[in-house]
Amino acid sequence: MNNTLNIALPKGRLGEGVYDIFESLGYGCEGIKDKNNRKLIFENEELQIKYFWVKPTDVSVYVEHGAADIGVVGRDILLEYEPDIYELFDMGMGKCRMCVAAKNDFYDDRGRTLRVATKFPNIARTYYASKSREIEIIKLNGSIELAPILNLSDVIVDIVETGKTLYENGLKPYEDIVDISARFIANKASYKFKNENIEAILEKLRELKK
Amino acid sequence: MEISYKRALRKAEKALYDLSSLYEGAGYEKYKMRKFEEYSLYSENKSFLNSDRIITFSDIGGKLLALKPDVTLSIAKNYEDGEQTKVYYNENVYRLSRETKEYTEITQIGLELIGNCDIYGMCEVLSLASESLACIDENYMIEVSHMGFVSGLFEVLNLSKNAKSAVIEAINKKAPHELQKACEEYSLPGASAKLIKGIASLNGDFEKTLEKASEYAVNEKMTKALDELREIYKIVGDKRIVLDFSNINDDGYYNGIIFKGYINNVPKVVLSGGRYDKLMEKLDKKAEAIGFAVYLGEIEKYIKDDIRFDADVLLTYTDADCAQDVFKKATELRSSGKSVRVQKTEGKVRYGEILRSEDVSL
Repeated sequence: MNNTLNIALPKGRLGEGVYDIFESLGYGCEGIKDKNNRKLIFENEELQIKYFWVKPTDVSVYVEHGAADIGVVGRDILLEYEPDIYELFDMGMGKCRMCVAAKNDFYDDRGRTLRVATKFPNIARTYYASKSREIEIIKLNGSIELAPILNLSDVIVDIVETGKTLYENGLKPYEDIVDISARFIANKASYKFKNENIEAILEKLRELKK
Repeated sequence: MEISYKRALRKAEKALYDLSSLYEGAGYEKYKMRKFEEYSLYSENKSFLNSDRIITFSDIGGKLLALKPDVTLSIAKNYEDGEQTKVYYNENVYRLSRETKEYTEITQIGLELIGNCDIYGMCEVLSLASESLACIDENYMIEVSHMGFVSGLFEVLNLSKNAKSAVIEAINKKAPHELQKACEEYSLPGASAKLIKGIASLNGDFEKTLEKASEYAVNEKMTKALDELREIYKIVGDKRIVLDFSNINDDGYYNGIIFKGYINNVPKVVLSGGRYDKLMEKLDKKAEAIGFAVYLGEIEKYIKDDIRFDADVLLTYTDADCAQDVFKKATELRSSGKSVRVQKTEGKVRYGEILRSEDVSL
């Protein structure tokens, strides 16, 4: 049986921060932080671990399909795609909020259908359905803040960290939907077959948080 | 003539025959059903199916029919009170894939025991589940839980519907942080929160976990559930059967022991089953019931056959060759156990070795 633990990390600042924590817990891997290294997979044979960087939205895909045994991913992605995985630990990093934001002078006319621009249609739909609100979703892939400014939408549903981008563009958070942070996830079958290895990492993470 | 099927069967297909033979051996009778059922059977039991997306159509009389998404419901519906039904099935079912949002055809094989389902019956079914997985891969695991233990817990907690579903969702995801949040959001008393968190973390080695679980059994229902698990394990227990109380099914349908099976190198659940007396109750049947299904479709996706060639030998010939000679040569080669493909051109055939008529004497 292959005992190597495959770990999917999200490309970018969050993933690098997560790797630093793993390294400090004794799960380091040579060459992984070298920006000039074009390798896709980094292995530490002695520790029997493999890391790979993937697009943040893909982490849960790799884990759900078992290509990665474990991974770290933002809660926003988990809420949006609802993968069938175990969400074992709150890393407490990458904290932000999923918000409804709008122009400073936005008046919410409840008599009309609300136009919502977002990268997270599932989250937006669930949120407004819980409020029995009729909406039209406008799915965008980036620069969400532009939408209300150009009157593409009435509001946006997006991640807000400091709110700086919003304020600089004459927008403001209007309603909070949910708190977001990075989560340690595992494939359900891997959790059975590689339980000891996964629990060992978890135990160290729990210790660190205390 | 004796024909070996070795070559023709892919691993997942072979598993189908192995499992049928296993169930026949245990005295289960084959159940064959038609492709569709009346839609009402499914619409009334949506949460048993975990989905309300079903392919429907009207028959000539205008009756709404559905392509079957499940077999258990049909077997349960046709059960006659007083009988002891032991059946297995091998059917295609049609479901909406959660990931691709498309309807897919899934090959499902499973068995049901309906009537009197005592400790012996439960042991028989659980052990057949183990053997089913062992047929496919020696490296398998079954996680067992008990709905009696879980529903006993919820009787004590007396939560609102929303609180209950938030708690169950967090437990299913094994997410202690979400559980903590749910406890805070619904202002559960400290003792209740402690109890839930304790039970959510119960998983692993069967006997050790059972021991720990007994500390959390706060009413008779929970104690009885643990006693039942203990008795079952005494008879069919082995180290591949573990306990995991984070596995919670719909308590409107399931009541006693429930289980899920995994095999190495397949990232998804490949077997799922349990006691469903409450479904029988809903269908106005006086019977206990237990069963499971094996998802061969998942297995087929991940377990690869070691196939490299379309044929071991490709024999090509030309117009100059006599058909009888070609035929003789092919027969001779096949009698040595090789698979032989015969055609004029090489084309895109993937072969182990090629024999050209001009190079070999026919």
